[in-house]
Amino acid sequence: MNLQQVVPEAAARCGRDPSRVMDVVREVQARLGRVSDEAIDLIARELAVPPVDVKGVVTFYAFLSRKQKGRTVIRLSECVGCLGAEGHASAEELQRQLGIKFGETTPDGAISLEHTACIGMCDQGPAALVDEQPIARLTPERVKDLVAAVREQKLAEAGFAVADNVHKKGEVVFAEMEPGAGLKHALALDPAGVIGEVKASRLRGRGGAGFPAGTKWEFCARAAGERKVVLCNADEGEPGTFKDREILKHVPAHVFEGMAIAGYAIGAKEGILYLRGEYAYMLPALEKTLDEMREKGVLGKGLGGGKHDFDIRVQLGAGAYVCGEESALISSCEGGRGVPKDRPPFPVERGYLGLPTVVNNVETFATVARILEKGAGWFASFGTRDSTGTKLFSVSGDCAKPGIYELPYGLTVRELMALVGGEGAQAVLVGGPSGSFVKPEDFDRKIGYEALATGGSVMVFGPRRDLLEVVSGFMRFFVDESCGHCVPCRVGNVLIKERLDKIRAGHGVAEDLGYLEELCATVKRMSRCGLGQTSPNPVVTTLASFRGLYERRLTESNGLQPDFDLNAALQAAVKAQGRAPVFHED
Amino acid sequence: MAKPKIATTSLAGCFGCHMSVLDIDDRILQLVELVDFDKSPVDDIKKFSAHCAVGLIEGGCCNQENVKVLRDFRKNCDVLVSVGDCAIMGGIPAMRNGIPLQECLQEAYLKGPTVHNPSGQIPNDPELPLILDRVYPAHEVVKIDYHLPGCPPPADAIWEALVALLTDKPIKLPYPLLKYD
Repeated sequence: MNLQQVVPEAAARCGRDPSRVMDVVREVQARLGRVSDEAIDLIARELAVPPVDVKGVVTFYAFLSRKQKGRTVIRLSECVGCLGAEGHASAEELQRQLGIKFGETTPDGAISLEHTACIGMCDQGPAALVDEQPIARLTPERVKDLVAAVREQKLAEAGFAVADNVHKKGEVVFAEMEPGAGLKHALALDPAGVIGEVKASRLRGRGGAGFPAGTKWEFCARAAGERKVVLCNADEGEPGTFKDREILKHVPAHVFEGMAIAGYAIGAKEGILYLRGEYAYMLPALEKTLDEMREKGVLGKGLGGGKHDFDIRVQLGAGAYVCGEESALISSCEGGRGVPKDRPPFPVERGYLGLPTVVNNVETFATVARILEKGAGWFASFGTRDSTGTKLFSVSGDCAKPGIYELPYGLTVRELMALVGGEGAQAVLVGGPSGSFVKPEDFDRKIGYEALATGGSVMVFGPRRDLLEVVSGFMRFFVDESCGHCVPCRVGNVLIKERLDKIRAGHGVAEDLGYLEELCATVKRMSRCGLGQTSPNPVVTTLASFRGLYERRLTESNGLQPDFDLNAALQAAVKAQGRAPVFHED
Repeated sequence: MAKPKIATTSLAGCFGCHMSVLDIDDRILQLVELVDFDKSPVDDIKKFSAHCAVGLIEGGCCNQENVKVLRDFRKNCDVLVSVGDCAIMGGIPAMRNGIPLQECLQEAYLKGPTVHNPSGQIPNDPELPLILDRVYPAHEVVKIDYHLPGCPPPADAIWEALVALLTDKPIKLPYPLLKYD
């Protein structure tokens, strides 16, 4: 296999479409273990785009690389959620077994070892990806088996597969549904009627922001333009979230049917499911479902025997959290760097390729199919007034039964903890790192948009966890995942983490807390997209609810900065100049 | 009542901020009415003669001596103000922060394209303070009370800040004194 062969093949596979840079680059990476500068030039020529655009893509995404990677890449999730108590030991053991450190490749070029952000296996960590295959429950004792299985290429038999983990099936998403029933009811209405039904259900987007789905569709339906697009956001990257993984595994047809309903409602013929690179292993099953649905006439030309056409393709990502932000998702779908866009115009007016676009979460579309099947009134009978329906909660961390729970909105944190066996928690993180840390005194707060909003991530932290270490881990995550476009997010998050780590090291002084609060407020207010607008939340909410944890680590200040070590700062000069410092007295 | 004292110093800076202080023009006469200068390059007083109300810091810390002076200022001043971008974030001198010290010295004294140094020596007299591994902004070494940004901060900004501090009134910095470009 060489470049001259691989690049044209990959380009031909997507019709040399300049907006499909991502697919070509992904294929080159998979087949050759890197995307070299030479490959970048070739791809640019094949797709008739500037080489710098291709290079931009290759350098943006975590799973793409210009340097040669091993034939197999093992990526251990370093997310605090699934690392748990054993993760660090697993990381050590991996390095020992492979004889290399993280970021290195074995001398025979067989295996590279890397860290990665949350891969959505929070309930069965420590977790890793071996190329595209997820590895669950990678305890230190099992590392040896994994390495052997990778070397012998017998991964499938090694017993690391992701287990089903739905503990509670609710009435909406995980209920039985007659295939095509939702679409049939939708097609019996006119498009405005479908939007009316979704509005009447008061369904709010399930990704976390909670924008009313019906209103969004209405905006898009009204937007000028013949060609419109339905985008499904399956870039589930918020640490602690893995509900879309289970939805796409168990009820993918609900999701695709929901997308078809949206297509009918807004007048779109094309749909794209943007699947995060970490879930690439699900692609064959999803493609199979799509084929089956096309055969049954639920997708394709003349849906459900009517006049409307709608089809769906799956776009794979390549490891970038920020792509879960809808405008970044659109940038990525267009084949570029996953950089958020300015708003307005909003995607409903000018989204994918400048076309009016509805972007909704996987769970939202699955829910829509059920709403159209059973009616808005039925749906609104679950949950609360402002947060109707059921919600999937991905519960992970220090509890007896981590996994997926589909429950009506409006239950309290305490009720949820009783269900999952997390009663002794010192804190529950609702909504992922972008959400809020809830202290035990507040466990009677309700989960829903009126109180604790969440895209579904619930992380339980037991009494033995060092919460500030957890917070610092999340800040590292945001530092890594910031797209780098705007200064408040790119620089601010680094500064927040530095000051937090100064306090953790026992070098903090009282003023540092005020500084952190001010800095967090600036980053939240000034950042361009949702990432920076919420990334300081782990610090903000722990400063509010767990201030004692910070205060206990502060030290008395005599005006000097406790973390400045003059002697250490001089060592480089001592070495370079071969003389010791002299300390003069006045 | 005796006039409050102020002290100033230029650490790893270019003296541009001090020049900007002088740019207050004839208001320097008003300033002398308000304060006495203690340790400062303005009057060439080398050592603190008394406790000062305000210390103005220009430049960050690039060597051992800078650290000593800055700590001295912290001990001898009630309020410290980082004046200008070098004090606040290292500025131009901090451009070396990404390069190992040994390489910096070699480039400066041995390998640089315009270097003429037949002896091949890197200056190493014991009188020379040892330089730090990187340039530190002032607030990473001691507690700094206020930051006055600019390169240099305009004379009017320095004037307003000083007057506000000395008269204990809120500072009024109109937009043109804080905007750049």
